[in-house]
Amino acid sequence: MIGQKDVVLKSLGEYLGDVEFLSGATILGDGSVALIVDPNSLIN
Amino acid sequence: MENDMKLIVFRIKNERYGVDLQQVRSIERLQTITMVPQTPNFIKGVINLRGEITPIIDLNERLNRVKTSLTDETRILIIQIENVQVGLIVDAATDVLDIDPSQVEPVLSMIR
Repeated sequence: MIGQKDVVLKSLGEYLGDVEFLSGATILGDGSVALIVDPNSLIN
Repeated sequence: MENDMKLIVFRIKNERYGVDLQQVRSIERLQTITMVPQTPNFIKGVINLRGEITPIIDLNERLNRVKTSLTDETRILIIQIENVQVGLIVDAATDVLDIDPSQVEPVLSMIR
């Protein structure tokens, strides 16, 4: 693990809807987008 | 003319297209796109557009199955229709045109 951070979970929007394995996305401090993985869907 | 419609004229390869200006929220330069897995090839990913996560579609790839070659002229048309916002990668966005909507002809039914 490289670190820990509290982030705001944003949805991927109406067009993409629900994407497999992802809970959503967040915008990091430098403006870049990080996708949030849903481990539950990965292991089930 | 009262009924005039404004179009943004954009280009894909050597073809020019128009889109209703009212559906275009902004025109952006290329920026870093975060890929999203498990999506069709023409969906390049998402960008941070002033705090809003916006999906980006390569329009040439979507229409013609050919990837857009990225140049300095490449632009992203940010389209908003109701509550859906998407970005369309095009080869250039060149003009704004005033047209009379009655001049717009439907696509020939034999082509469909």
